[in-house]
Amino acid sequence: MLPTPRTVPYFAVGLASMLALACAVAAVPPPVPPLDPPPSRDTPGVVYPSDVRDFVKLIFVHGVPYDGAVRFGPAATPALLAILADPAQEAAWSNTVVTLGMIGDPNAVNPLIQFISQGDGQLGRASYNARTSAIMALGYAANRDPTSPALAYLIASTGSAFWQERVRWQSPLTQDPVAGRLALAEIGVLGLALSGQPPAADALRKVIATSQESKATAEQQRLGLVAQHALAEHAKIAAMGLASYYAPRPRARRTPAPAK
Amino acid sequence: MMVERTNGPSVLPAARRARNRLSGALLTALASAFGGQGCVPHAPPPMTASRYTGSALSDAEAAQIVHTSWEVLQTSDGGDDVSCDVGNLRGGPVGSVTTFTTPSGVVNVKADYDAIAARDRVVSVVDQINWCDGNETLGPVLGCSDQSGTHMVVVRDDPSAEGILWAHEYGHTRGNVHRGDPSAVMNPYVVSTARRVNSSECANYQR
Repeated sequence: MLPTPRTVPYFAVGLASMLALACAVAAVPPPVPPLDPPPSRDTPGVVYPSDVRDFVKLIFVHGVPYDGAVRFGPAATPALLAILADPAQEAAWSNTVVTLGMIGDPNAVNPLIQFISQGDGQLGRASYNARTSAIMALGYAANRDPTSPALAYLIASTGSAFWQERVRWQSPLTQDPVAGRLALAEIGVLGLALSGQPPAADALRKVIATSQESKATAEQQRLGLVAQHALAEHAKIAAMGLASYYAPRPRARRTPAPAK
Repeated sequence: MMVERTNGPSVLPAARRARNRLSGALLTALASAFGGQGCVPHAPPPMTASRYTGSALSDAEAAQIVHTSWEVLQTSDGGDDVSCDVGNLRGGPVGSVTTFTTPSGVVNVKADYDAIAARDRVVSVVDQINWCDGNETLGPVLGCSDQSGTHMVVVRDDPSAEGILWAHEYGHTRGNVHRGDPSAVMNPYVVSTARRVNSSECANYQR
């Protein structure tokens, strides 16, 4: 005879109750460690290679660390330029150009500008990322030297015909040449922010003003949006310097997105 | 203030009272024995994946990367490393990788990041990240996440490092911070030996 609820042995009821209670206890969220204010991403004790050639081969999750790059100084420039000249080291190019920019050796500026224009046809992703990183790297270089050709290059890069004249290669991210040039113009605008220089702020305001004209194209409006963001970051960088801008600091907690 | 009366006390307050009254050790043992099997435990949200339409990430690749992340966390590699079973990573992402077309696959401003994060996917793959909302800084990066949040954005890079990269970013979403140890998952740069998680990091992964 199958047991009915009336004939379930007491021990079984007890076990089921205990299990149900244990499940309920497991479902009670455990105490959550305090996260407000959120912890910074400070990295005490982080160790970087002493050889810049090893440094640029690392996979930096959050980008090349500013403090880690600048400590190499201009003495590292020849080794870094040699990496840029070696296609076999293409995977390290992106970190290499950023490191060169952060170091800010004036001797690296023209090679960086030449590197941006190098190439024909559609680039591979690593090569393209290295080119766009080099554009931003000019911003780092201009931050150290307001008379650097890097700053003039970035200011000129906001002009509509600039990228059409400067690069012959095509982006691997889009088949549309207009979209490809807009992408480069956006990176140039971000480079202006990194420079923290007053003429860069003027150039950004000009981009914003153009984007707000009634005849502004969708591309100009998008560039204006990026320039607004860049201008805000420019102000921070001009006020605190790149070292403080990249120094670990408490992060603002993100407000969760509304449920959809 | 109106208080709605229910048909009897809910089970959770009862469980809380029971935890106080009864033998804590016995209940804790039962909870841990059955928590992952006989009942649904308190667990991190399931992982889902999305990608910008032009970014490459197949369902199989997403599953493989997430599995590698799980394996990295699960395997004990000596030192202070603990075997950390993060259940929601074990089976890979939930469902197929979804795609999005806007914003573009390049994150340059906060609005770009916000638009991606609003999709409420745990991981989104894009082509480039030049603005990281978690760090609030400009510059090209491979991964960016909400600190103690629900979202992470990554760029495909060296395939041999993706499992660790995703585990690292996922760690940020669970509240983990950087640790200056090249053998640690939370080290700010990734090498193949960066596989260790200590007990407090593991607790964050699992909560």
